[in-house]
Amino acid sequence: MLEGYLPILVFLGVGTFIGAAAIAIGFILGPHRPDSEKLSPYECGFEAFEDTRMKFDVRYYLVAILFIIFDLEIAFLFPWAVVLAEIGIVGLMAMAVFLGILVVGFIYEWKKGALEWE
Amino acid sequence: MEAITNFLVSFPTEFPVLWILVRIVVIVLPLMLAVAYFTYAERKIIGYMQVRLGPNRVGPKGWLQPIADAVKLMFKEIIIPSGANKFLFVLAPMLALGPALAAWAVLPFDDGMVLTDINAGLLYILALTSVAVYGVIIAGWVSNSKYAFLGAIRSAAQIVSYEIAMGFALVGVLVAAGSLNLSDIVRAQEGGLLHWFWLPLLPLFVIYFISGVAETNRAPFDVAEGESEIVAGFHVEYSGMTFAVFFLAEYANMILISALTALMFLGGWLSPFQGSFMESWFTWVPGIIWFFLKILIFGFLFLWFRATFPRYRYDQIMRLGWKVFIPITIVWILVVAVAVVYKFPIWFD
Amino acid sequence: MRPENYQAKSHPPSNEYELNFGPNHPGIEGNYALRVKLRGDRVIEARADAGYLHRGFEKLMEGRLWIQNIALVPRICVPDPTPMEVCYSLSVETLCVLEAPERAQWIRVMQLEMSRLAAHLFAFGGHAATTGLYTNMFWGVADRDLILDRFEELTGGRVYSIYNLPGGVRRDVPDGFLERLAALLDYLEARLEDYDNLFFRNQVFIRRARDVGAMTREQALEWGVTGPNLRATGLAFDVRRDDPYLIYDQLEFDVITQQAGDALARNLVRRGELKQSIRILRQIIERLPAVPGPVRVPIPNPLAWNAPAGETYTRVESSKGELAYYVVSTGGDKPYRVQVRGPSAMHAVRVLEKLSVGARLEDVAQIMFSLDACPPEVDR
Repeated sequence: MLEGYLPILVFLGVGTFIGAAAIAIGFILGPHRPDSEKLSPYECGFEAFEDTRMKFDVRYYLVAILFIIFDLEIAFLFPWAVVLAEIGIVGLMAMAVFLGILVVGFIYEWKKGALEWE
Repeated sequence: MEAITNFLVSFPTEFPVLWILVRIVVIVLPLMLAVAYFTYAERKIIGYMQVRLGPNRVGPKGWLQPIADAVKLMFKEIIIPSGANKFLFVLAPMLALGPALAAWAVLPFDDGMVLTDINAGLLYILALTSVAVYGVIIAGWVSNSKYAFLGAIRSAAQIVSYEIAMGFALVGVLVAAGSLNLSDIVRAQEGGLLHWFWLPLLPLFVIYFISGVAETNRAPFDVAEGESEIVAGFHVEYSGMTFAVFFLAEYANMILISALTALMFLGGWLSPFQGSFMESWFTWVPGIIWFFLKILIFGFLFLWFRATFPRYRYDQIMRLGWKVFIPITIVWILVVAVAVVYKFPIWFD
Repeated sequence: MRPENYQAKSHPPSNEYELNFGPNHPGIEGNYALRVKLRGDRVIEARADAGYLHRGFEKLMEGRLWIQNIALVPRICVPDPTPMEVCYSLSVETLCVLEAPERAQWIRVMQLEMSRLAAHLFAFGGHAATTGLYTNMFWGVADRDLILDRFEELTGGRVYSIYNLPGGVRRDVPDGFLERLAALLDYLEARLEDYDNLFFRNQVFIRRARDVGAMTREQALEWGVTGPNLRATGLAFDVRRDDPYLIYDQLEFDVITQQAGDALARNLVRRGELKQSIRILRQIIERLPAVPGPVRVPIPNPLAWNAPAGETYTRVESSKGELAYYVVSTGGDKPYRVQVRGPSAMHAVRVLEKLSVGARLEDVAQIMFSLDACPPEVDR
């Protein structure tokens, strides 16, 4: 059963290795002549005004929170979707109720303005 | 073809890891070549759309251009900005490329021609595409540049938003196919052009592909690297091979999205003429060719979009993802579920 | 930021931050800079930072003979150089009480409209490129090149033609030029359909550009806005019609207006002006062969040409708005003072600063390009 997952593990290793090898080649072949101007962050030709690691718009956090909720819903839907043909009408009704609750929450978010980007 | 299939599927008991490695190389080498020439195709095709010639100096008709680009980037200095965390700065591009390649472990090229035929293939794909966003976030965060940071948070918000639409579209596919295994999903579409899932799942098909364009940060959803706004976005500080790996990851992801769309909605390796009078004319075409042709269609769409659409504004992107795509997918999941339960012909009987 | 003081600076108290927009930025035309203060994604303050392209034209012109300056003026604005030549020539003619022969006036108008076509094609491309649609830019540049071919044939120069001089133009139209120009106009007119499909009727672009950088007519007048930007607010003011110079009063054309005053409206005004310029050029092609006369009046020895003392303010309608030269002569062989009243100086500094406030970060470049401001002309 689980031996089917061994190639995946190896493939993940290979995928990361290819990236690592490419960057290693770059470090080996490329020159390395840093100076303070070269190492300063790009700011359209000026020195940066202030630190980059700043506070930013809370809306981005909001998107992340909403994402977690919806992603969980999708995770719940996956097993249901696979066996729907077998569990038939009962499964359909159960999931309709679940999706109904989800939709109510979604409408609530919408009306509350959580999805307004302005 | 038969020999290759047998070679790829047979699983010698001694040195399993070695054999796995050999088979992975058989997949990855052509894939990397495809990625390299996808960049060439992009420059050529968009060039012609923009009344210019595209690369035509390196080799005949510019055929060696991707190779020249790769060699050039190898000899370029890798600049790590002073304010950056060196370890994370180098790790970010690997995190972007690794998943884009590893996803191919479960993609069937033909009936039975797959590295590992696990039964949770789609779940694995969904997990890997979620990991890809970390490369972008880390790159933008550690670069210590405002443009990179803005690009990263925008990109993160955009990718997670479209991932929901994408996930719902996948649920629709699952309902229709009744399996998480990608080969089974393709087999559920047997029966020719009209039996493929693009027709009964048409809204999900469109949404899945558009979300895929957004996931890969391609035009018209390329606000993460919007040139005229935040210069190059999350990879503004990357140079040399670190940049090249990000670049490879973007194109590998485009091919991956094209392949997944082809598998789930256009019947993967299946011939479009199955069940019609023309079926016997095309039996000599191996399934893998059909699969590649379908990938090419979507690959071309990626390029076509870039040449003909202006970039969406950020609020428009979020509106499209949350207020248009998610409601449509939820409704269509219910439609498909009802169709499956009541064994609606011709797709679900 | 330098590594040594990296730890020293504290976080700003709110999520406001400043960002440099140029001079080394792919979304900015030429070397121009805008320093924007943002809250979240919105601009709350913008400050134009001009001067990276300052070459001191006005001062340079004080040190050159009246006729030498002809070689200098077109370099002030690269995308639309011909109005500079014509306007300077007109102002010197006014000072010297000369008048160019009628045929020269027709040829000048022909050049001005060709230049307007080329400049507008360029402007669309730039605007589209700020929204990521590079196809339109490449098309515009390719089609502009065909116009430059005709400029080359007429004047010998593709961009800076140095073709006008006080008293007329350097030489007459070459044989067969008008036929080739007519063919080019037919091609451009047919091409407009492609531009419409790609750009002007592209729903994504329309949604991007609508309500971006909008100004009212009152604001436009207060800020000194002219040209297509003013006409996009609904006021049909065009120097060509309202203060006719050369032979514009003998030509038929419409003054295109739009009501909204936003980036989309400005673009549509330019789109309409393309058609009007083609219309004007067709009239010229038809009527120029019948206009008799030389193309130049006799002028004094250019090396010892003293313009009478006096001053003049002469204006023309360039593709970007009202362009004027204020020239003062003290009777010498060189101008005493030249002031170029370029439209971009108004549009790119004050108007851009005002319109950027409240816009989203991604629209700042679009606002700049929709105003069709030309940084080399701002800095001069």
